[in-house]
Amino acid sequence: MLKYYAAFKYEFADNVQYKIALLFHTIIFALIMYIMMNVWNYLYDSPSTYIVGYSYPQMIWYVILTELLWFSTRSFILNNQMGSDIRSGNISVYMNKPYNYIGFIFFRYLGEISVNLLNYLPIGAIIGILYLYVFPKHTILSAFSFSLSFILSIVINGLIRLVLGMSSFWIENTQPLIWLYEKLILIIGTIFPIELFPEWIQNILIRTPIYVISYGPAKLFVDFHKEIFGHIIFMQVIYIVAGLLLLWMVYKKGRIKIDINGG
Amino acid sequence: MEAKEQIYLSLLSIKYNIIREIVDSKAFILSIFLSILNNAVFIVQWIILFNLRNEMGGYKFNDIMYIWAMACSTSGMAAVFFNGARRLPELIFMGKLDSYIVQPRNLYLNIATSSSDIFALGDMVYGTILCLIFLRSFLSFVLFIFFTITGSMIMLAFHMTVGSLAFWIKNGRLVSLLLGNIMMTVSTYPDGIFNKAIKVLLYSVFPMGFIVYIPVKVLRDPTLLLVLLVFIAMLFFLLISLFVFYIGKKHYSSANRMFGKY
Repeated sequence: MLKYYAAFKYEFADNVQYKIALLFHTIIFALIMYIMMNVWNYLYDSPSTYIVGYSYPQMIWYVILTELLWFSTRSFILNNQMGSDIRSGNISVYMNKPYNYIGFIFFRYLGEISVNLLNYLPIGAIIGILYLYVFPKHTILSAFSFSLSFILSIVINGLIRLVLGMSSFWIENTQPLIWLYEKLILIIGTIFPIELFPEWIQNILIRTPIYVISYGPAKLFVDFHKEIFGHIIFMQVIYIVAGLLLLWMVYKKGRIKIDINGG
Repeated sequence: MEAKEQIYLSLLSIKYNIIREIVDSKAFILSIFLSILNNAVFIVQWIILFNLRNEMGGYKFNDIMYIWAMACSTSGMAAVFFNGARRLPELIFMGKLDSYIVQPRNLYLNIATSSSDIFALGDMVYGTILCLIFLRSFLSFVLFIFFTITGSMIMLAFHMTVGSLAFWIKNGRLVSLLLGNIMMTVSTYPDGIFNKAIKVLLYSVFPMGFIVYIPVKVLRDPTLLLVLLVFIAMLFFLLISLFVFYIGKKHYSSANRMFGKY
């Protein structure tokens, strides 16, 4: 396990160095939050209004949570580096090493996004508190549930990106797939909760990654219920098991093609 | 060299940039399609938001589509014709201006037309499609084309101005990228949702007011005075950018790098 920790540490240290890039992304994040707050401020007639069961502060915290998850989990390693390693054949260098390649790259992803989380979590909290003067009330159970769901959502996000990146074994350019995935999460999963969609679309959305990656953790953070917690965690576990199986299959079939790619 | 020849050379430069980019026709068509799709998915966002309220910051759904049409067509045209302006900070930072300076061409135009972002052609196409779908009259379409040209010129001026910051500051590249991103992010939301301070910025530092908001007002209700105002604003921002660029150029020092222009 120490070697995976070393991969995590190396990636963390590498990403922490780019302070100006972090500042740049922080400003963009704060700007997007500012725009979203203005949009919702306009849509809520008064602070006491409820939209699909969400009060104004709940809606803002929901958007902060989903946006910070979206910003934090965009990974250069899984989106670009892995695909480029596969296409160039460089992956064979990593595969010869005494570690599991998937585990190695997954821990590098965790190292990369840990820096993002350390950056966006406090910024998101500060923006929310300064703007709303309230923080969602939590019990130990709800805080634990939210934290668990938050971590699982990061894991699922990583697994999906790994599968998309691994498709480089067959597709020359995986960027359109990654782009489509990110766009769907951004448009449908971050700006508003899925309750705003018609019921038949909601029934589809709760079976998609949007539900387990974006909606789940944010919903538990702003409006915790034991029933919904059970369902979100259940769906997240299903996604993790299915994601691992799919990843294993893709990797097993894909690695045979390395020699074709010049590795 | 006469202005006519300078413009002719710039058009030639743009033409060859585009020809170079579309050598791989499949990738070209795919990139156009993706660019259109990239913009189109945001319609979902606005359909949902307009289900909650039938107007947003004084704009109806059709007006928001006009905002998108203007924002996409102007940024698209600026990126296809004047993408070199967005590369200005990099050229300054890397000391790559040398090969532009020694050519017998107008430096400002030479840099601005030195590259084309062909992916942005999709933005232009998408903006035009939106305009045609929500078109109110033939006059609206003529005005749309006029504002696309003035808007892309204001964007050129904006990128040349903020890009010139790299003559003075080390992180000019990041600052320029950041300011450009801020402008593009804000431009697709109605100005009516922002407070007065932000609105002032939108009509000054980030001239989206003259690129998107006033043109949309004119498309809804044609007013000659506002058309003239946008034209004068375009000249003003172009003059500012020329002034800042040529003052900044005096601070440029070559890195003695050996390479061709492209």
